[in-house]
Amino acid sequence: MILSLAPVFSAGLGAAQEKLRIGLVIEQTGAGASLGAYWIKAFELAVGEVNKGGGVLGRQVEYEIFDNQSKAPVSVSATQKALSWGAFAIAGPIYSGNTLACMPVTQEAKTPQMTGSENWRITLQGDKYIWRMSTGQTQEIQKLLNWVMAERKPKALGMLYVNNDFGIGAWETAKKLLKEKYNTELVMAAACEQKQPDYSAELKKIKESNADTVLLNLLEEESAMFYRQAKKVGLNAFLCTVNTGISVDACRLGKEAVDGVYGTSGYEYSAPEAGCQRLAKYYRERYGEWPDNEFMKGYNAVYLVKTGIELAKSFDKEKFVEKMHSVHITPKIQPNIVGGSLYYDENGELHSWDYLAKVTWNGKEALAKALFAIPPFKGPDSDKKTFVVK
Amino acid sequence: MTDLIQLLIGGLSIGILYSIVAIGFVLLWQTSQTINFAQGEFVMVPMFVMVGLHIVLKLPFWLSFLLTILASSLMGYLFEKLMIKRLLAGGVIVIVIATLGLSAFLRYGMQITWTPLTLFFPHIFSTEPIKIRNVVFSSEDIWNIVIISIIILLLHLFIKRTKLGKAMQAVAQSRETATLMGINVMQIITLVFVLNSILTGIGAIFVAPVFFVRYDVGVQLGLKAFIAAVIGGFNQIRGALAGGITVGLVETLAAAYISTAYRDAFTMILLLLILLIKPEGIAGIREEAY
Amino acid sequence: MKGWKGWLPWGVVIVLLCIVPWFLKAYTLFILSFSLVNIILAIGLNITLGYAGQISLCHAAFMGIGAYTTGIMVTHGWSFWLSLPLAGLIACFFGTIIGFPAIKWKDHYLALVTIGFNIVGYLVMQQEKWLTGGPHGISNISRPSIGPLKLASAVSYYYLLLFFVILAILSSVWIIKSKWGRAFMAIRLNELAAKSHGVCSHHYKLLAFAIGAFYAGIGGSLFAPLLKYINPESFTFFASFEYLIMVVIGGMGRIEGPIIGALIITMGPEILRVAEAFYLIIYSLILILIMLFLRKGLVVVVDRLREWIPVLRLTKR
Repeated sequence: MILSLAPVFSAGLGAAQEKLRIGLVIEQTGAGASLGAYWIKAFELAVGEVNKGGGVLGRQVEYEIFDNQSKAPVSVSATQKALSWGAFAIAGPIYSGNTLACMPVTQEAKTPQMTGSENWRITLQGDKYIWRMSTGQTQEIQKLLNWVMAERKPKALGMLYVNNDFGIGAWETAKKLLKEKYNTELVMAAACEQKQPDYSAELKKIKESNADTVLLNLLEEESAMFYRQAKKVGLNAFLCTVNTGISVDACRLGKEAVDGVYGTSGYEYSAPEAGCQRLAKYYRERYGEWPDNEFMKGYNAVYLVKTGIELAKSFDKEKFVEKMHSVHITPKIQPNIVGGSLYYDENGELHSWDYLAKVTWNGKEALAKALFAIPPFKGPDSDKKTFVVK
Repeated sequence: MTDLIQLLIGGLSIGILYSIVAIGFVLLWQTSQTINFAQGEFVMVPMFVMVGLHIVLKLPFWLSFLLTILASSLMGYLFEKLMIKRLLAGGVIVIVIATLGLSAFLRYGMQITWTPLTLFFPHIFSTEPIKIRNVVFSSEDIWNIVIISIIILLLHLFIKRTKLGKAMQAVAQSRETATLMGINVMQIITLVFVLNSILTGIGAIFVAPVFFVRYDVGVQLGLKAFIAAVIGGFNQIRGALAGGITVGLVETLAAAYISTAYRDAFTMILLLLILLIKPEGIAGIREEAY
Repeated sequence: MKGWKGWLPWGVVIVLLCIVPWFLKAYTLFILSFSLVNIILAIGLNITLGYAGQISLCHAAFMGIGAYTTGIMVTHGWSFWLSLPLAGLIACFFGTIIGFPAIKWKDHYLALVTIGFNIVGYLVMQQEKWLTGGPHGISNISRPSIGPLKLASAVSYYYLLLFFVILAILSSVWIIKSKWGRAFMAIRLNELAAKSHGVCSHHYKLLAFAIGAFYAGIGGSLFAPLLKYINPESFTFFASFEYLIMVVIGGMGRIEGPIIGALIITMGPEILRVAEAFYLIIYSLILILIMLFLRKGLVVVVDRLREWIPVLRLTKR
């Protein structure tokens, strides 16, 4: 009843009404600026849509950017500033270090936080005010590994990862999974520096280990540079990567070298899910490029805040917390949500479908196309099986 | 064995790129005691200019290149006239801070006014793999090494043999004496700064296809080039060549045979060793005691 | 003019700093607390660089050593008060090691060696998970208590920091005015002349680095519970550059220098926030302009103010 009357009320009372404030604590400047830019654009779109549709329970949404300069101490002060501005919820940051730094602040303020970070530790801190906007790095590498072991049955598996929290975490997850579930080990594993231009050393290690399959957990640029060199020396191994390796930037920079690479994608433009496709098309038309999955994550942050409030039927944060754990969200519940079927467990960890895509070079662009759909680990869809995408 | 040769080629190809950026460090320090912490950005800016002219405006390559070199020299000229002139009297630390500020200014300026994203730059030379007995390289690798080596050697000859070059050497050894000999020291210093920018502008088109065009590409380039200059010999032009190649080779070999994660640490260990054993650098000439 | 009147402006500032936390919003208090930590660090670097003239671009690594010492010890149940002096001493030990290259090399050589140490330090912090928690860092670093008095709240921790800042300032004044301080200045001005007067420059260079590193270790140790979380990203050589900037912008070789520098550089981005994303461009431009026109540092502005405002002339020391 309230939801249908909302447009009438908000149209009438307009600016005099109280606003729903979301603080965007994000990497607007500094090392993470290119990723933060996607969230900023996503907020512009999402908040505009929500407000046009009547807002949330009658209140218009208002957001403000609190730049954390891609630094941990500034993330803390930016979060505090957002809270004193009256934010109902905080969105961001993206870098895991920044999130780990400011999580205690939102926890103490009992304020929901929608983070873009992928580090596995974040949802295991016992913090009930944190929600993740994409499947964490652990899940992604597990799904990739499971698919590779089932479909490719490699004899010798190697791994290349980037030398930071994103890559090292994935390597540890991979080692553990291989040992516990498949009773095997990596034949080689090497860490590369961020923005490293030359991969001769890594290629040598792969070659001398006779790996027939290489798992990649590199960032976009490193992936592109690696593919180029791998192609040049004629590397014979099967290459499969997490989403960063077949992302828009990796394809744009690697061009024909990315041809034939397989990778996981959750919210990529290649994901055959209505919400992703809609957003990807919008971004392509507006900005001339395909969007990075950070765009979808930022968009979902807004809609998840909306969902929580609507499920709680009020602006009570504790009810929000109660309703948003062990909850299954679909477009039936929140029409514009991206991802199709999202399940949030008791830790705020996201479980949703991922897709196994293959990149093909068509002479002009390297494009990823989803081949398999991989079900989530928890939630109502967890008993489904991997199937081929039509 | 083929592995080793492959690694050497990899290290050489990267090392030569460090070399072309490193020359500037050497030149500037020699003539004006300037440690230019913005050297990497002096390569980054022409990279973006090239992208703007050649990719966005679709001007022909040679025209874009010429205009880029022009723009780069202008940048070097302005740098000297507006900043260095005033800062020379302040001492090393003042110049360090000022160039750090300039580095940040150029970097964030580019990030905000153009894009924080990484841009693609087309290869000038063919990257088609050429295979000789299991060792793979491309003509780009060869051309890079040959052309940059020639540039550095030509520069070396210029400094050693021509009158202007000798005037630069004189200024580097002692500004007071050079003035007494009738050399217009300020003019020479301006010339050296412009020369540095021309070199970084040329370096930009070699670096861009390999490193991609990014607002913060100057950071890693600048640091590696600085290390290369010191290792190679801060008082010799060919020191830049020796240093760059050494850094490239050590990085690659150490990563391949020891540990890829601690790659950067090995370069530092090498630096320490050189400073302990031969502080004037691999190709340097011993000066008076430090 | 010596005597208590010279300390009057300081006293006023201290009183102000004591009152101010009650009137500030949480985030401003946090930034101010962070500034206090940075003052301690800048004071240390000022001794190494400002007074003894030794370029040190690894100050953040010493800070990191201190921060990780406290972080590791506190999360394993040890007392913060035990970790604090240990942090200072361990950092001091590494500072002495860096001092050795400083004996032989100067300027850009020393700069590079110190950057190198910072890079190696960062790699160790990032790789050695068994010790430092790796790239994920260390979370849940709790704030200390003095007996029954818990210092967990923002305001109480602020007072703890203020106490240590005052301690840092007083100790640095004592060092500068002592034989050590005079030796440092002699070496900076003319090493050869100092040596010929019997000042063993080797010893004093080592000492300059050791003392600077000690302050950095203490600062790092206090930083960890402030943020309650540390990771290697806070201790890169970029961070070392920032401390260098603080010391030079504030005014090298002056007591007030590091205080002014640390406050301006830490709070600067906050003040410039109005410019949104452009603040970094403005900030770097200001750095360049200060080096061009005020190369002795902002402390020069304070000096000029002392000249013009009659009442402050009384406090000239």
